[in-house]
Amino acid sequence: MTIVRDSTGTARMEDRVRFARTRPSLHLFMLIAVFGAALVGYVAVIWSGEIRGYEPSKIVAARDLALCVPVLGVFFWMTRKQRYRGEMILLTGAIFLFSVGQLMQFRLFSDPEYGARGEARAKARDAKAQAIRLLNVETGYDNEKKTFMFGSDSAVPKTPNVQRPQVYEYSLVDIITSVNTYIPIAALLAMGACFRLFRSEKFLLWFQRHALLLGLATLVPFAVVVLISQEGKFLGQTTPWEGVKILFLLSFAGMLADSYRHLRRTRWGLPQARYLIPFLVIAAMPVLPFFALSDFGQMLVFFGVYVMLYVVAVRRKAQLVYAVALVAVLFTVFFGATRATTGFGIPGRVYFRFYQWMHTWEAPPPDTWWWKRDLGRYLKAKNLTLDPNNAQETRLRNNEAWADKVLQQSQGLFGVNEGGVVGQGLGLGFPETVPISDSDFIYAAVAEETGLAGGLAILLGLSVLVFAGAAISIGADDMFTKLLAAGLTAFIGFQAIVNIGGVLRVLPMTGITLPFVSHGGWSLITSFAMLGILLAVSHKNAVARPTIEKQPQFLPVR
Amino acid sequence: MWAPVILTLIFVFVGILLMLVLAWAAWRHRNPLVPIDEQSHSEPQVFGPEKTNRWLRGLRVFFLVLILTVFGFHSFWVFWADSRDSQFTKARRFDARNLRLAESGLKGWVLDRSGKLENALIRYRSDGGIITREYPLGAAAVHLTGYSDFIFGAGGLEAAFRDWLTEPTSTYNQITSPNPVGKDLKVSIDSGFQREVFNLLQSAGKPSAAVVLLLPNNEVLAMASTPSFEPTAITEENTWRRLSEQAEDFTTQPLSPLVNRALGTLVTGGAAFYYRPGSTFKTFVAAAAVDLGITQERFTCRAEGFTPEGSNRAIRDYGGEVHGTMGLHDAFRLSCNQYFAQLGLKIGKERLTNYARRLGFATSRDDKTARALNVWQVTRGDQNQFDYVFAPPIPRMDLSSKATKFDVALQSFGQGYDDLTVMSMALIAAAIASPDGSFASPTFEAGAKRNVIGPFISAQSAAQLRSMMRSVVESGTAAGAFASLEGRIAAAGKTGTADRDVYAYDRKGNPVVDRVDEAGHKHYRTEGSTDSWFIGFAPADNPQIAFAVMVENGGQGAKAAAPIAARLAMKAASLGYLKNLGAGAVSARVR
Repeated sequence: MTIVRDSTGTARMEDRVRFARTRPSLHLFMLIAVFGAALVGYVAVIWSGEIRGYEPSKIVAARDLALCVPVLGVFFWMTRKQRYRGEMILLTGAIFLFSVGQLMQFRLFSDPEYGARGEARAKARDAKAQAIRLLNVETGYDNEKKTFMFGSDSAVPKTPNVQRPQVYEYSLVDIITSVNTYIPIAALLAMGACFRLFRSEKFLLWFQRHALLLGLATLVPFAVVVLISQEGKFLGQTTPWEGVKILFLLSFAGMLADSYRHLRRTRWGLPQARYLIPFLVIAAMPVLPFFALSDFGQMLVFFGVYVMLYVVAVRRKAQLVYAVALVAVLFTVFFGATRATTGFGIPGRVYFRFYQWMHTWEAPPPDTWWWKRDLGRYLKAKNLTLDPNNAQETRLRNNEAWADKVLQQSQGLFGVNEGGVVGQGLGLGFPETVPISDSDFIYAAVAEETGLAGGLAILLGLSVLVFAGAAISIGADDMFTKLLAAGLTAFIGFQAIVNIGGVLRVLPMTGITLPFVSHGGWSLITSFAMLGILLAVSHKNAVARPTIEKQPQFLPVR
Repeated sequence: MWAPVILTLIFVFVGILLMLVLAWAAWRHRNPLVPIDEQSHSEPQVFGPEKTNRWLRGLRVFFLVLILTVFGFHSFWVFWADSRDSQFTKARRFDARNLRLAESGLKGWVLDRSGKLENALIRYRSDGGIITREYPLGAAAVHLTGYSDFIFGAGGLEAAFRDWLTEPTSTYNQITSPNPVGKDLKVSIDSGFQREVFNLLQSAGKPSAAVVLLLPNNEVLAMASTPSFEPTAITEENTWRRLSEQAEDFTTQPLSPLVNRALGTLVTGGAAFYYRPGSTFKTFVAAAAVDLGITQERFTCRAEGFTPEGSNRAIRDYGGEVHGTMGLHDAFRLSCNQYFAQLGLKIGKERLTNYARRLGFATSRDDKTARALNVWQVTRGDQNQFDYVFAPPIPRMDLSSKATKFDVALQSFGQGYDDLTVMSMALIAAAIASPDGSFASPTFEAGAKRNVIGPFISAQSAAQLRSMMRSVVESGTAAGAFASLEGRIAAAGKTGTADRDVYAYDRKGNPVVDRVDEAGHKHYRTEGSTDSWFIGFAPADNPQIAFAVMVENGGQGAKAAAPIAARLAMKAASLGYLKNLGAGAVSARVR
C-alpha cells in the first residue's frame, strides 16, 4: 500500500501506483488503427466514385495513406531519439482528426463537380446523374424495358464519359510536386522543431524575459503584411500569418506569468500602472491587425483565450467589473467610429453575419442599409432590374438574392439534416453542394456523409485534445508554461467550437477553420506547431517530476 | 451502393471506438499524478500554480458544456429540424440536392391502356448512353402528360402522380442504387386515339378541345386541346418565360397554349377560364324537365322573340329563325332558344338549382368556391395533389335571388351566366348515357370501377333523353354532320352554338386597347365569338363512349364541332370501343 497524492492535494491509499501516462505502445497501436480505418474510408470513397461515374485517384489515396510513414517516423523519433516522457494522447488525437480531414478532402477533390466552375461544373453534374441512371436501368428495369431502350437486355452501357476532376493529381510526378504532399510533412517537421525548441529551458526563459519586445517585434512584419494584402489573403487565398498567433500568445503568456502576482495586488480593483500598461499593450496587439483584416473569427478566439488566461491567472472577481466597463468603452468607441463611416453603429458585414445567424431563411426587406448593396450586386450579375411597382416580383428576386447569399450556411445545414445518424455513406452524399466544404465547412461534409456518429467522433477527438492539453497545463510547475499550455489548448478548443458552432448555427458564421481537420492553407502547420509546443511542455512536466513508470512487480510486505 | 455504406459504418465505428479509448485515457490522466515525497508544502496557498489549476479544471468543465451544446445542436438538426422548424422545411425545398436527386432518378413510365411500351405516354430514351425523359405523343398529349423539369416545375400527370411515379419498386434496386427507380402508371388513355383526336382538332384550325369518356366507368379515353406546345420547349428558358407570362396575364391567357381547354386549367395546375356551353346546355334543362315530368308544355317561338317578365330585351334564335309553337321533343331536336327560355322559367330557379347541385355546380355568384375538388376518382395518388393539377374550375350558374328572369331565361339555353368547361359537358352527356342516369367521377386510371357521385335523373328520364338526343343526330341539327355514319354507327348528341365576347388581338397577340380612362385603367376592345359545340354518346341505345367537342369561333355547332365528333366516333368504332353498334343502325333519313 502506498499513499499517493495527486496535484489537487488529495491523498489516496492505493495498493498499486497508477501509470503516470498511457503507454506509448498503446498509442503506436492506435496510430496504426487510425490509418487502418482511414484505409477502409479511402476504399469506400473510391467505390462510391465508381458508382457515381467518376474515378478517384488511387495514387492520391496511396499518397495520403503513405503519410503514415512520416507520422510513425515522428512517433519513433520522439520516443527513441528524444526519449519522450510526456503524454501521447494529444498526438494520437490530432492524427485522427488529421486523417479524417484528409479523407474528406480526398472525397471532395476527387469529385469532378467540386473542383470545376461554370459550364464544366454543370457537365460534371450531368455525367454523375447519368451514371446513376444507367445503374438504375441495369438494376431496376426488367428485360422488356431494357430491350425496348437498348435493343437487347445485355446492351446496357456501363457508364458514360467518366470525367476526371480538373484539380487533382493522377500521376507520380503530380504527387511529388504537389503541395498536398509537402504541407503535412512540413506540419510534422514544424511539430518536431517546436518540440525541440520548447524543451530547452534556456529558450523558455529567454522568451519569458523578452516577452514584450518580441511581441512588438512580431507586430511590425505583421502590420506590413496587413498593408500589402487584400483582406488578409495573398499567396492564393492562404493566410500565412496564422503562425503569428503562437508568437502573440507566447508574449502574452510571458507577460502574464511575470506580472500576474502584481496584477493581483490592486488598489480599488485596479492594479498598478507599471504592470497594467504593458499588459494592456500586449493584450491589444493582435486585435487591431485582425480587425483590419476583417477576420472577426480569429479576433473572437483571441479575445476568449486572453480573457480566460487572465481570469485563470489573476482570479480577481472585482476586476471583471472593470473589464466589462473597458469593453463597454471600447465598444462605444467602435460603435461611434463605424457610425461616422457607415452611418450606423456596426459594420454591415458584422450585422449581416448576426442577421444570418438569427434569420437564416428570412430575407430582409430590399432597402435595408446593409443589404442594399449586395442585392444590387446580385441583380447586376444576373442582368435583372427590379420593377418598383411589381411587389411580387421584387419579393421573389429579393428572396433569390438572399438565398444565394446564405447558400453556404443553408446547404451545410441541409447536409447535416440529410446525414442523419450514420450518414449517407462516404462519397454518396452531396457535400459538393456546400461551398468551401473542404476547409471552412468540413464539419458539414463530415456530418452529411458519416452522420451524427462521425460528428461525435470529431467532437470526442477535440474533447480529448482539450482534456489532455488541460492536464498538461495543470501538471505544469511554473506559470509561464502553465499559461502557455492553457492558452494553446484554449486556442484549439475555442477555434473548434467557433467553427463547428458556425456550421450548426450555434454562433454566427466566421471565416475560421477547424484545427487539424481543415487542411486549408497554413492552418495545418500552425496546429501541429501548437501541438509540438504542448508535447514539449508535457515532456518537461514529466522530466521535472519523475513519477513511477511501471507497476511494481511485488506487493510490499507488511 | 451498399458496399460504401457498410465501409463507412466500419470507418465511423472504428473511429468512435478509438476516440472513446483515448477519451477514457484522457479522463484517467486528467489530474497528473505526483508521488508523495516529491510534494512541497512550502508554497503559500493563496496564489500560484495550485490555484490556477483549480480554475483550469473549472474551465475544462465549461468546455465540456460547450461540446455538449454543439452536439445538442447537431442532434436538433438531425432529428427535430424537419418537424419543428417550419422555415427550415420551406427552405429545404430549394436544396440543391433535390435537383441532383431528380436528375439521377428514374421516374415511372406512364403507359396507356394497352400497357405496351411502344404506346407509352411518358418513357425514357437512351441517346448513346444519355438517358432522357421522352414524351412520344409530344404536343398531342402535353396537357395530359405535362412535363417535368426541376427548374420549371411540372404539370399534368407528371405532377399529379408524382408520388406514385417516384415510389421505389424493387428491393434489389433500392439496395444497389442511391436513387431507386419509380413505379409505372397505367392510365386509361388510348395512345393512338389521343393522337387522332388531337389531329382532328388541329385540322379545325382554331383553338378547340375534346374529351372522350369510356362508359360505364368514365375512364378518359382521350383529352385533347389545341393550341398546344412541345413538352421539350419548356427547357428553353426564354420560350418558357414567354409562355408563362402570356398564360399569367389574364388579357393574353385566351391565346395561351399552356391552357388545357378541355378542363379550363393551366397545364401546371391552377384555374384558367370557362366557356359558355351554348345550346348543348339544353340537355341539362331538358333532363330536368323530363325528370320533373314537364314534357307536355308547348311554347311559341316568335319572330319578335320572347321577352321575359321584367325585362325589355327579347330572346331570339340564331339567325332569327322562327319555329312556331312546338313541344319539347321538337324544340330539342331543332334547338329552339325561345322554347327553352320559357321552359327554364317554367321549371323555376329552385328546381333548376336542385338539379344543378346534383352535378356539383355553384349556383350563386356569392359562392366563392374556385375549383371542383374531389370530382375526379384517384386511387393511385393523393387526391389533393391530383386536384391541384386537374380539378376544373367549378361549373357555375347564377340561380340566386339576384338573378332576374332574363338571366334565368338566358341560362336555360346556355348563354348568360353559364360558366362551364368541356369536361363538365362531357360528364353531363355521360350521366345521360348511363343506364341509371347517375353522375359519376371521371378517372385516368385504367380498370377503375365506376364511382357514382350522386343521382342526376331517373333511369326512365335518361332513356327518354337518349332518344331525344338520338333524334338530333338522325333528323335534327346534327343530321348533316353525322350523315357519314349512317348505317354503321348510331350516335346521339346535341349541337351547341355559344356566343360570347372575347378580347380582340393584333397580329402580335397583344390585346387591342380601346381607350384609357382617367384612372389609367385600360379598356380593351372586344369582339364576338361564336363557339361551336357538340356533346353526345355512341352507340345510341347502348352507349359505350361519351364525348364533348368544342371549337372556339367555329360558328354553329353543326358546322365545326359535330363533324369532328362524327369522325371521332368513327375512329372509336374502328378501334373497337363501340362493341355494339346499336340496333336500328340503319338511319331513317335518306341522303
